[in-house]
Amino acid sequence: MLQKLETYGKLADAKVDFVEGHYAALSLVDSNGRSRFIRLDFRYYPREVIAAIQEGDTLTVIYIDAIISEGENAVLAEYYDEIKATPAIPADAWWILGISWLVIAIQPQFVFLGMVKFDLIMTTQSIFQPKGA
Amino acid sequence: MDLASNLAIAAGIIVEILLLWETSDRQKKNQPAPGFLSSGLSRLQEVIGLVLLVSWGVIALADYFDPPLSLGALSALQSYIMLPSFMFLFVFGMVSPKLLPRVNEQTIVVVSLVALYGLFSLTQLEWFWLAALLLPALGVFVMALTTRVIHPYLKSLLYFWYLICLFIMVLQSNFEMFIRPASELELTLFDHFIGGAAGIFLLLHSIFLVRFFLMLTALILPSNRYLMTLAMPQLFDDQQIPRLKFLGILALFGVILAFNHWSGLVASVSMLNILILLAVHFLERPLQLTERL
Repeated sequence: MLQKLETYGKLADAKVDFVEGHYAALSLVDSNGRSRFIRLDFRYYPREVIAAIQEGDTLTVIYIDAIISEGENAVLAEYYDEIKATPAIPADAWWILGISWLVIAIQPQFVFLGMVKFDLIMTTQSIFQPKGA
Repeated sequence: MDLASNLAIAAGIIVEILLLWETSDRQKKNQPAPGFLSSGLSRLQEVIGLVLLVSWGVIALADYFDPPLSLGALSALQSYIMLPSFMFLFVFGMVSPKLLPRVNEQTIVVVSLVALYGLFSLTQLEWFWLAALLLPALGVFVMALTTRVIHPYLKSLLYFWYLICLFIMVLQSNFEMFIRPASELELTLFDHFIGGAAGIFLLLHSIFLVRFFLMLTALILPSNRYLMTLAMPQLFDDQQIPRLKFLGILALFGVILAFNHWSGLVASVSMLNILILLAVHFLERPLQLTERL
């Protein structure tokens, strides 16, 4: 979505049609004068900003000005730079990935499934079953 | 994107999947079913030829008549193309990578040089990046000119390098053709066809790169290293074509690239993708193999 916003992004004022759970449905007029319905995903914004968004409000957004997949998405203009700077993989996920990788480094048998015959994989002498055990 | 472009992408994907299947069968020395038309061709090769003929006939008709389809119908068509493609990529890239072609040092050299040519023509790199990319390429080149059978551990590292080169190609490839309106891109139907074929090939290997990176961790502990020894014969081939023929093919590829650069016959990325697909599927086929083991 960010790549498409970078390529096709346009600034516009959008009216909040309704707010539902994790998103708001907005309507705006695009650069060709057509009426468009877009979606504002709440996951990128602080709680107080989300709470302040009400039906009938007018928000300044950056939307994807093209009829392409994901073209219905938009972001609040005020938070666009912050959203762009958000790391693709959060710091917490790096811990989980690191620990998973460590487990695989110790017992990598299952990543060979489908490539090496199962009985050959299971003949491994793992660090938990020393040779001759 | 119009109907003909969508069909060209779909045809490219189907032909590439059939080619992967055929290459895999041939490399595993399975006895192929004889063709209906010629005993020199296998049935699968004839099917590939037939699919090519029929699909280009349909593409030509779609391009000529250009039926005015609604955005919804075109989106549905794209979904019908993409969903089975992603299923294929997941199953044969992650779960059971049985269709990955076996490669040798010479294939890796060709793929490395093509990927690096594409990269260097797009961007200028710092000296350390240049060294990091050229040193492995030079090492593989030396290995491709020798007839020594290399150790499975080294094979695994060469194969990892090969997957990285294909990933570099993915980053260079113009996958915008799948998302941008056709009117904004000056691409021909042939570019879409090659985009579909190379796209499925490159994405298949990119998905496998994730799994292979995890497989490489088996090299850390000595007790697990035998797993890599068992896996590498599925991915790496010890047969190579004779040295002079290989150098001749490299020179031919160089001439093709230079001619295309000069004439602009085909989009640059499409030409690079064609050369990679040729190297992987056909490099050893028309030539007498040299048994090295």
